[in-house]
Amino acid sequence: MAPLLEVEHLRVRFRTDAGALQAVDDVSFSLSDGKVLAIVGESGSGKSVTALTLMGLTRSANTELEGAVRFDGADLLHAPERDLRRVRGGGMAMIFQNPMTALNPVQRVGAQIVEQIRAHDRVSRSEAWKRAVTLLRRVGITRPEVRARAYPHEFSGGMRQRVMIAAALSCSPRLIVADEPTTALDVTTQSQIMDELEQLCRESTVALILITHDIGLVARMADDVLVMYGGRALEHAPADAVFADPLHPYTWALLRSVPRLDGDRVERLPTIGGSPPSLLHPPSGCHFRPRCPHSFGRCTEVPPLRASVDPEADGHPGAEPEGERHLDRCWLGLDDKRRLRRLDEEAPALVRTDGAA
Amino acid sequence: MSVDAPPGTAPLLEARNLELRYPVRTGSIRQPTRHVRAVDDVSLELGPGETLGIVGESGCGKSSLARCLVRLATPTAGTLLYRGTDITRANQRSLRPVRREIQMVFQDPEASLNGRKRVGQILATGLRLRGVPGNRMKAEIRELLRLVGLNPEHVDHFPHEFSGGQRQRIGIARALSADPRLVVLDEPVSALDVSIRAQVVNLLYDLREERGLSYVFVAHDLAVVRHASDRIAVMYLGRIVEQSPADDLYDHPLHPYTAALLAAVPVPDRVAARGRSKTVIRGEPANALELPSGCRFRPRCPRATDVCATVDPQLVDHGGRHLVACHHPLDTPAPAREAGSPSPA
Repeated sequence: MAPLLEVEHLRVRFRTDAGALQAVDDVSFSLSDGKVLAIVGESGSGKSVTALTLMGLTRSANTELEGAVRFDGADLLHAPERDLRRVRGGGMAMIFQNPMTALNPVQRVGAQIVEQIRAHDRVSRSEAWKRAVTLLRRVGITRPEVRARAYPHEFSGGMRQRVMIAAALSCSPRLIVADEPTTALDVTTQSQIMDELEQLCRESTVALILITHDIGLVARMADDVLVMYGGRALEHAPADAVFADPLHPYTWALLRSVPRLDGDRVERLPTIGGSPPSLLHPPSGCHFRPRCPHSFGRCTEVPPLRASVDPEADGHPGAEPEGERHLDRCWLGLDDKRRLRRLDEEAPALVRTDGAA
Repeated sequence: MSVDAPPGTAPLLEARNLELRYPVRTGSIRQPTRHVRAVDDVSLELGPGETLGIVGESGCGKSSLARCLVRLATPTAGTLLYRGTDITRANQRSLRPVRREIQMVFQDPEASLNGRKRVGQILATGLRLRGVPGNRMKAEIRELLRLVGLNPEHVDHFPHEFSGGQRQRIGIARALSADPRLVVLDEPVSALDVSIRAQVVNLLYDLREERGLSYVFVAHDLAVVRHASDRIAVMYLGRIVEQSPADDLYDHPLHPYTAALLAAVPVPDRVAARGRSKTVIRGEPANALELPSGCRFRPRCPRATDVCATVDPQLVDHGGRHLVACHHPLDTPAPAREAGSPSPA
């Protein structure tokens, strides 16, 4: 069976006054029904631009798009706007980071969901309103028939995000793209909303692309992980593999720099020195090179995204397909990566800490 | 209710039963009809060189408390002592010497730095306040920039020319320019990227060691606060519900709310993430205008019983400076729940 979504060699370039900006550079992934793909990265890594491009929201005279985005077999990247409208909301829906700016402040929330339902389905206003109320109940809003008549400002942040989820679910999409859905929320609210989103997706086998910088959320929800940096995919693998055996030095640093609740309290947190690259003037070769403690001569050439050959896995039946799905973009050999990662864990001092943020 | 400081150290800052009420104005003539108690009967102490973390959900009053502590807001009741002097209602003139010693770093460096001033000008204000002569100014500014890990050559740049992490470093440099003893940090790293967050937390740690600073570290991220603080206070709807040395709070939380907050933090570990019970409490904090009777956390609490609906629990020391305000703290067996007891909303 063909996957629900296939993204192949996606490139997004913006022409700006200051020059061309390569926001997404050769990103490929695929996603099947009911699966969760997490796209992880810092601000400026291109994760949001990737998401917006899937929805056809980056189109403009100053944008160059290359590659392919196939949803359910049909190309979206170059599809006419009319076809895209049918897919948006109906086939795939998006949940934005900030529900206050994504919702219309002068329209009742119920009416906003009704508008979306009627854009896709030929149903009467009262029928659509009933569906909106049912949806609001499904996402955990109490007294939905009353709350549907309220305006966005009358909701708390968590409730607003629930409204966004209800709107996203309104046309029974097969894929939801959630761009930092809980970054603006409290941890307790985040935990509830992610539980609900996960449950709703599993119930209806909706696929989910979760864009986040929260490694904890990734650990909890993802089937697959794509680590992005400076517009490129640096590591792409099943989530279990990323957490058990991360291969790219950036992924190690990212995992290590998360302050933890378990383990010993440390006075100094491990850091990644320096700051993310400017996409207007990216470093040559590997984008992570200037911050990487293990960079060497060859890193001035752009490394390919490829599967490392695991010498230990030779002869293990069934080990190879898994290994082939673990891709990373680094010139180091597999043995070197594993050895250096262990060294890093033992003596984080080896990590470059020079350079200001 | 006061917390004993370690013997031999007089507290730098002491709050006793601090309260901050905001009027709620309604109607066409904007009459105050009701009040929200953003900070309600809060007592705490901070010793020299100590870091106190304050955590809680949005709307719990942690930022209001921070604004009281630096006297950006005037407490409506209670006492605020700075090095033994009552500054609760001190006027602007008499506050001036104190202002220099208590500085604040804000959450959003973009909004809290004047975009029309160059970095050098921003830092010069604090230095002048401290009486640094004009001929020393340039050198002092460069020294400050070096101290927070910025390039001293960038003294003539504007804030927008820096990245988010660098701007927060400017915010920290501005706080330090007045040579303070105490810095109140209101969500200093929440707006920053993960990799930059750790850098700024480490910078704060180094500065504290170098300059013997005390910090009040306000945050909603329990993981960041854990590594940065000596003691931690957990706030819920204007009250401190638990206060303890940092390690103790994370290893043995006593208040069900603290336990729920900790359980809600996603762990960056695949196995641990699966094994965790996910949502522990449901719902959102009660409306601060219509507080529930008795314990404020009662409507969301899995351990609530009848007594919680009638008696407002007070902070009690459970040994080792670990205070908790709860009728059924987690070091006691879970209460048998009577039929008809309030269920979590």
